[in-house]
Amino acid sequence: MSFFAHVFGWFTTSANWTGSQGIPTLFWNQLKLSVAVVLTAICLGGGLGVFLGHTGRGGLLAVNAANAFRAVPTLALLTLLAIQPAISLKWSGFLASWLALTALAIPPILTNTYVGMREVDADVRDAAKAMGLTGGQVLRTVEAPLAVPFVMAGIRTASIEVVATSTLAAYVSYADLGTLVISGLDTNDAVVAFSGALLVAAMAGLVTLVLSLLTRALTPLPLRRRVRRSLLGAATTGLPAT
Amino acid sequence: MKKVSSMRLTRFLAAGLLAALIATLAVPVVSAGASTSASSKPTIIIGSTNFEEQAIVSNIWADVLKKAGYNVTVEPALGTRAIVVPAIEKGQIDLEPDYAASLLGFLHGGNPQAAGDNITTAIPADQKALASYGVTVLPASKALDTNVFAVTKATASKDHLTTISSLKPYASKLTLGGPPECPTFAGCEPGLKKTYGLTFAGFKSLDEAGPLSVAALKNGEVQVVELFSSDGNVVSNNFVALTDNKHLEGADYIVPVIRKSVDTSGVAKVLNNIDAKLTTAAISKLNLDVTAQQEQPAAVAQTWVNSVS
Repeated sequence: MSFFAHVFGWFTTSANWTGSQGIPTLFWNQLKLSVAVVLTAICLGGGLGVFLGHTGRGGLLAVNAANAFRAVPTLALLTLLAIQPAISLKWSGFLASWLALTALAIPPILTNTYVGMREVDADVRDAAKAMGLTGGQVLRTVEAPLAVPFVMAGIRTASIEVVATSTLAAYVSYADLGTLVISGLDTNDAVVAFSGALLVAAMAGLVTLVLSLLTRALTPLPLRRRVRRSLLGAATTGLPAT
Repeated sequence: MKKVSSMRLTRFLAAGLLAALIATLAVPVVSAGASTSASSKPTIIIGSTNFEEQAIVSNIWADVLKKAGYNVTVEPALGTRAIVVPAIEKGQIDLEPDYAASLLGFLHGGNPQAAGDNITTAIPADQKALASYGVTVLPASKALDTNVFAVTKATASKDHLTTISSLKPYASKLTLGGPPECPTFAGCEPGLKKTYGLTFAGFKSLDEAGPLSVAALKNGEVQVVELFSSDGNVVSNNFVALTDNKHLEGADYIVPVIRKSVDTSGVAKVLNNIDAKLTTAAISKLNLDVTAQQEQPAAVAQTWVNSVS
């Protein structure tokens, strides 16, 4: 039997779909963890990015500091957290994984939010101020909507990184799709490891799709065409470090 | 300054992710042992599994073989036995440190073998099982390292635990911790169930007797954890290693598993000489130097080799 027939066989074995190590449970655990991480990173990184971008002060420093933080290896951070008595394997390993992955997710969101805020045309901002809008009004009605495409791009980048990297959570006993990858590798069972990886890829695709639709829904109507054009021609610099 | 990421970028990332995941599936690729040396002494590739003791022993063997004039490459932390044994069977590596009884169980589909209870029967049985792959096992070192199941001193005194059998009334309330392969490894969860009739409340997948396992026991996340007898962690953390009163674990002496193609009398002599000096006490001390003193396995190995030769 070919390798892919074995993989198909694994997916069609009913035992792999039930129980605490079944596909639905593992998939849900990974999704839960990823969503929690991205939401936290949006609150922290996005919040800080909006503040820095709006005030325009200290931003470059904060963004560079956050980007330097990308060099921290997630596995090392995860292990370090997991051996702290205060964190350890609490909530079945969720806590340590959540914290370690949040550190991974903040930089792209912070950077893109800050850049999005700063890229708002100064003339537009000045015009809004000249019309008598307060700082808060400028932020809500002018800066935030215009920054949406940038912010969402940051969130998408972070989400993909988090979905892929949350497989590491299995290392600290959190049962997610990484469990399949890690135990598959440990027992030299490529079928299980590959099936786990396939499920992670499926989740990444799903998350990308949902976020793309969300981006479209959140982007102000007049911006949509321009955004699409600029996105198609955009230089894809700033590939995120993992 | 970063430019906005495009849809293309996202798609690219998704595709890259898939590719990366597929790449992780590839078993660690070890460069095949093509010897470029014109001399009669072949290049020997030493592979090992993923914990410190293995790295230490690999480096000890590498050091003595280098001193004897052999070309040696060390490929540490290739994975578990399920990765390393097939690698030597296929000739991707030439030499690996293993444990006589656990190896025998692995070679018999994960079922512990009676021959594994004694080192004098374990080695011939290993040799027999490996012969068709062109692999053999050299005489054992004097270093014994079995899996042990440890509890904290507090748990031990509260429930009067001394042997693995004494866990029986409590097991259903205790969580077991061990390496990810524990649920399928004869010397771990299946063995505890079969030999001792123990069914635990749950299992937590940790590491190979590493920092996670130690921390999980210390922090009370698990109440019983698999560690190694030669590992300094049991002593240095004041844990209690439960006596294996029904002999679940066999004669797990460290043995050189070697491809016959590099098993010349010269190589065997060098390894036998050093293994005769490698005692349980010696390897325990070296393990402690690495885990507690944070020294590098290669440095620890070199210092020890220089001190005994």
